[in-house]
Amino acid sequence: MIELIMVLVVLSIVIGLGMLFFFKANIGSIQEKAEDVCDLSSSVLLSSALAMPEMQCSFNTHTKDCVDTIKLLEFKDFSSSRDYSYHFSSNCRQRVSFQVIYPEPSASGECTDTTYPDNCNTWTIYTPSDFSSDFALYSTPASLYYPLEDEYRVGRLIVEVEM
Amino acid sequence: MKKGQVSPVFKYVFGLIVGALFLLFFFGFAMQYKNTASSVEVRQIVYGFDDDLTAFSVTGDSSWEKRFPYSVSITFDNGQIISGDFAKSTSHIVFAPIEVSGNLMYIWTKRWSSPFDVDNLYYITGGKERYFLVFDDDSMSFVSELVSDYDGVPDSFSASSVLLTALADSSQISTLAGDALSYNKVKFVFFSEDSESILTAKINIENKFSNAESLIVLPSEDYENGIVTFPDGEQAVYFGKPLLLGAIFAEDSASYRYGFDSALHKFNLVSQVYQGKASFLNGRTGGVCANEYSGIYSTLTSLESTTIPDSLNEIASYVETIDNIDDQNKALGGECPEVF
Repeated sequence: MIELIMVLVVLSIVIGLGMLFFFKANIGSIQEKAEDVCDLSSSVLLSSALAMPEMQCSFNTHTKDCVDTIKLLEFKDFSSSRDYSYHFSSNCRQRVSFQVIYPEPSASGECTDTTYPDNCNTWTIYTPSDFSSDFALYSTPASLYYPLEDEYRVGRLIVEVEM
Repeated sequence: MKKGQVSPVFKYVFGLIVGALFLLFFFGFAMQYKNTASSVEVRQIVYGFDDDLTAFSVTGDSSWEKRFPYSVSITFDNGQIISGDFAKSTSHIVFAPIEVSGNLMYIWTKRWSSPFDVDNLYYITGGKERYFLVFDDDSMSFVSELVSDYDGVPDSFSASSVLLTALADSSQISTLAGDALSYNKVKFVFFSEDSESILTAKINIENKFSNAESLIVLPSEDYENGIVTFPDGEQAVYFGKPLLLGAIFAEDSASYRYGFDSALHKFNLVSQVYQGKASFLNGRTGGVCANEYSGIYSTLTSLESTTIPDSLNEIASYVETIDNIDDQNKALGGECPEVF
């Protein structure tokens, strides 16, 4: 009887260890799938954000492939509302912003009504609450339009995905 | 049997119990694994589908096929995409049958503008619905445009035009019924004000079809706006062709109304950006175009609080206001940049 119980105990330990490895591998694979979904939605956001009517340039209702910087100024005031959380952060937590690259602005920092257009270089469109400092960065070039100056500057759309 | 020896019967019973417990454990484990795998799968489907909609929002008008490796069922219900036991809220405005199933889905998107771009509207079908757009002499050219190869409803949506008088002829209705046999649902959309002919056609349809329903469109002169009467008798307005298509492809009046309200809500959000821009430009241009900017600002603000019109006359006045801000915007230029 004791031998039988010993065999059962050893068998249970072997099965237990097997399950542990299996679950670890399984959880790893699910996490990988979640990361893939997140990667994909960040890439999709990179291409789609530039065409959002809230940000895209329009000239007498005809849209162009550029981003209107005054619209960015106004949009960022309410882009963190619930209305846009599904759009910017539904699949994974991500921070979305625009940055001017060329010509280099005389000062860096967030653009506001007072610092726009020359004393700032960033428009933060969406930041989830308690955004971690550990993130992956995706970016794409964007043409930034300044309506008052009627000029275009080179910028980039940045999507930072929380790890 | 000696003292300390275990009876063979006890051994067998013990072995049986332990074996059953192991079997039960593995069975439970397999079921749990299956549930987890299917739960991951439905999440991938729903997230992937929502991403697809987002990806195609960059285009003003495009259609595509979404293929799945196996048959899936997706429910579109009041701003949610649901598959299996998983539901995800979406910001996309979708007009579709409540449940679309199969391994192939057809999606079409059109951008809704009023007068500035507001958002993309999405139409989805599983290919199990048939649409007949019924026209008379007055609506012939508008309906031809709706089903045209260029800019019209994609072939995958199985929409075709039918002359109203053809529905008075029982042999022609029989031909249509034969054509629609393989579809789960048939929708007749009447673009006519001839109520007598519509009534006759509806009676003939009821006699020949068991799965048909009718929508009646009462349009404005240019067909761009109007009122749709749904099969349940509910009426709803539409502004622009994309919303009219929404009324045609939506499951029912309630789901159209949800999409319509979402579109108007989005209009208000985009309008807020333009109100801010008008006010900002007014400040920065030193009041050179103060009249134009404050005119656009106040019209946009007033549109936000306007009650949605429900008669053709009210629609005409609402559309006139939209046209006015469009004109005010077009008058800008030079040192006063346009607002939208």
